[in-house]
Amino acid sequence: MSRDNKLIKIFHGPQHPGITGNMSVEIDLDGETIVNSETHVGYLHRGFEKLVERRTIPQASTIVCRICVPEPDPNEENFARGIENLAGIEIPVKAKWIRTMVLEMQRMTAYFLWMAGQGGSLGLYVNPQWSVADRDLMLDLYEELTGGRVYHMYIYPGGVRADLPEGFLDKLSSLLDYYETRIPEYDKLFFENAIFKKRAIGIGYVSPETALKHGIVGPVLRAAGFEKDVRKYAPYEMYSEVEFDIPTQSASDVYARALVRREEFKQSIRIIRQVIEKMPKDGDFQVKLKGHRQFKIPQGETWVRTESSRGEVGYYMASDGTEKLRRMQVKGPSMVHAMSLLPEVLKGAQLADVAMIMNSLGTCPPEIER
Amino acid sequence: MSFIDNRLKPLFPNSEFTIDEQGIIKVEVTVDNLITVLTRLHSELTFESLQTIACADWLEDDILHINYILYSYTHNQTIFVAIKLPRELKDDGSKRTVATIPSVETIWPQANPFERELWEMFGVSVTGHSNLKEFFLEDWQDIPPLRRDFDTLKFVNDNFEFRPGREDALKVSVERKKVRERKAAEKAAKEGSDE
Repeated sequence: MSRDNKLIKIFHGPQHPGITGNMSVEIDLDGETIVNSETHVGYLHRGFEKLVERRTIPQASTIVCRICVPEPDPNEENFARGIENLAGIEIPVKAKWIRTMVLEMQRMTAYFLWMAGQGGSLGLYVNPQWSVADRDLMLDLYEELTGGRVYHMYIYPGGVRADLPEGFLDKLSSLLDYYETRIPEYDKLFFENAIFKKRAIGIGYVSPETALKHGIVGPVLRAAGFEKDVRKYAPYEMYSEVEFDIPTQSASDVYARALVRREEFKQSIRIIRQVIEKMPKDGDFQVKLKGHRQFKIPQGETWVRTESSRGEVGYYMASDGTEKLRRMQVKGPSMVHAMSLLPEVLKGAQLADVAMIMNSLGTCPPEIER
Repeated sequence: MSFIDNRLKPLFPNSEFTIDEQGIIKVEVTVDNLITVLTRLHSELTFESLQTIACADWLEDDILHINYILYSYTHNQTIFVAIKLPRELKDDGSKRTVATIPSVETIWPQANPFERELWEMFGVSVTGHSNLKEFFLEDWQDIPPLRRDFDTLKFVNDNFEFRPGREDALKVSVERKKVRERKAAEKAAKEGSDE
């Protein structure tokens, strides 16, 4: 800071078009350069962890999906698998395949939403228009499968709530064909866009040491060169039965993270195609919980993890043997990315890049506060 | 089991390690030993990642059960390092526990928000933390809300007004009773006809 300059304090958010949700970053500015920043949350605290303590499984399963708005299914799956771990329930194979498919569909919708936000943060507004429209086609399929567009409440302890509708897999398959034709278009518009490259390359750098030290997960970790994915190192559902690659980059800037997500989008298509091929025709899609609404969760504690589009989502669950969980703690990637990593990455960045960096770290404020 | 025998036992011969069906290794330590154990797990056994600090309130046993959940990319192992902390609060009105835990922020920077949350939501006293201040709540005067003895219903009744229902709204309890009676009558009739 030069001697004549005074630091200016500004709040980026909670009401700001460039913020990823209801959170705010308190920034100390020297001209346009960020000297210091701190993340503030608390605008969206809904107390889900406390609410779950007072609710039975059917009641709680309608809450957990609301923990992360753009991406509810990994939360549903985590909750369901946690209960199954505690109770020692083995779910039918078909349910596992359906869950894998639903999770990958979710990953694609989440990437569309990320692409919308990333484009919006640059002023590239064609991007949100295209990707939200394309995401909508997947939401139509979700509506057919689950009855809901955004929150599905479909993955339930013991399996899934309903079987696949007739002809669903064919529709999904033709949607994937359409998405494949869209990828070159998005390349032209966004990934190979000269302005995006110019803005993004070298911005928001996270060194590999920082990434490991802070416990960074997901695309941010993979863009720093680590080939780490929960789906590979702790496979759940049917991920051990499908083939896919873990894309990595080494530049670890906003552009590298965009490329990782682009490649993961393609991998999702690849996984769903395999799931469609291997989906069992018949078989149960759920096992009934004993006592259903009065189902008693056996005593114990567990830790379950799912790979969401932003990285690893973990649930700690403890049960005391009653119908209600004693404690459920949610740890999403945003907790680390937005609270302890973001201030470090923002040091020395330009004010105009804050929204872009935040978006590329994949922060989801509802997940921080629960 | 081999990981416990080969890697953990030589380092911590006096600790009892168990492993559950999901392959999670569990160990309980005392608060005094916590930093030593975590530091050694981090530096000597490459448990790089602190996944979370999870706390459960066991009111009937009068303890807070705090789990430090660590994960090692190198060994692909998860370990729960548990401590048991007495629930008792200080009587100076601060609503924080008498017993304290040391901050692990110097080992893992992401422990900062986790410990801040423990401090706010369970009233755990943390020593050596750089930024212990309000996190999600604002001007909270009550006991820390994630403790089991915090009565959510009472809090809601004291602080919020319930919206009056629509005038034509039917009482749920009365309607439910009617449905139950109707179903019981149908069942009785069916059983009667079967006989």
